[in-house]
Amino acid sequence: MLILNIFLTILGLFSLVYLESLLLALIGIKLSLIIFFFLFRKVDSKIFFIISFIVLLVFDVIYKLPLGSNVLIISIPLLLYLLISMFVSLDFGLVAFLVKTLIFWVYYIILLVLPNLFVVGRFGALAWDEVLRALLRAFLTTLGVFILDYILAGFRKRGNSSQIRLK
Amino acid sequence: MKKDSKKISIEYLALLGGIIFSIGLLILDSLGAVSFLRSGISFVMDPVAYHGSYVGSEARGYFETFGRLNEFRKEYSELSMKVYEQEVDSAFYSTLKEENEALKKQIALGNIEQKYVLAKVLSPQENNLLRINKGKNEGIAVGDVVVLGNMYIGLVVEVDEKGSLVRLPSNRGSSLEAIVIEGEIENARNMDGITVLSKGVVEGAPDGLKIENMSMNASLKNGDTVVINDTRVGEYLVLGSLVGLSENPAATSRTGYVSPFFDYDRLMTVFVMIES
Repeated sequence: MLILNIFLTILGLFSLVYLESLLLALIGIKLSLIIFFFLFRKVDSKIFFIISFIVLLVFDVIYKLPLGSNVLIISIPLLLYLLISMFVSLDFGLVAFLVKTLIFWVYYIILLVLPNLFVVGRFGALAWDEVLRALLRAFLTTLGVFILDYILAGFRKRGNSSQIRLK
Repeated sequence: MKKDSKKISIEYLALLGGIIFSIGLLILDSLGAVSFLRSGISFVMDPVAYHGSYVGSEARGYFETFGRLNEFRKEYSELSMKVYEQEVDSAFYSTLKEENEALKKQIALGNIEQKYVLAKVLSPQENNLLRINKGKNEGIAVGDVVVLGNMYIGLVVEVDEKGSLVRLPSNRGSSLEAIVIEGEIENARNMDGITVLSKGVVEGAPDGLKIENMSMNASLKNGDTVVINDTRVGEYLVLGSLVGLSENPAATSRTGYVSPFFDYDRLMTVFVMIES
């Protein structure tokens, strides 16, 4: 069973890398971000963080960034998410949608600025059209997370509605 | 409640640990200490990411094409207009070039003592009659000779204020005295020192430009040059080359056909010799 899980994880990693590159080139959104925030608090935290860390390292290599860059970049919206979730429920509803959009917007803006810092030691330049485009991407990403949430809600069973079990 | 707060603190700890570990990795990577890890991941994952990115870009290209169809239509219309304009310009330059070449020919080969009027040929040409855009206003009169260089084109048969009608030698009513000289057209450029092989009469016929009444004794051959030598024309003008020469020993004279050096259908610029 463990071997099957490892095999499926590796297969999933390849699929994620492929689809992430495809979607990024197609509509400019990061599938990994959707998956990350979709699975956050739905699977076991240890497994989630370990796999996320590995995936983000892989993306560091793919995007030719120094190792650890993506973890640092994503830690900012994640921190925001954790802080806001202490006061507001971010599972469903309009507020959750707006907050998540805002968090993703921050993420996409950071993505425009920080990689440059890691690579050449200076912050990247920001233009208004890029910021607005980041907002659109954030909106699409939030939409992706909500769609996955609603799909999952369709498969929910009573009693364990908030967890996906990875045995 | 306690479980939830424990869960949140685990998340914070994991996040903090991840950040610290990432900073460590960042430093190690800048020192090149984890290059083996980079190489391994790159070797396995880069082709996957590259292919995904390629497929995404291609798909995006298709979608963009659909999204910009209206723009493409506009661009297509603009380009079509530009092409038409270019074609018009090109045609204009072709006309100028042709006119320039005709003028050069006229200067090089025409009779410099004669006065000429440059005229443009109007199409379509019917019944071997050529319409030109110059007439009485430019001093053209009936009977004027139309030439191009030292080549004979025709005689003016009708004149209006702003146009004229030229009878080509291939017209059935055309009959001109001619001489046949030895050799090809180069020989006719300078009419001095040429060998006249025979006289003849050139007439327009349904099957072409016929030349008759040529001497049986002359050593004529196909390819010899036919030059107009008619009182109505007034000077030696080249008409074409001799072809289809008859070989009947019983006949009293020889006949043949003249292949004009010009395709009359393609004439654009001609010169009318007018009385000075």
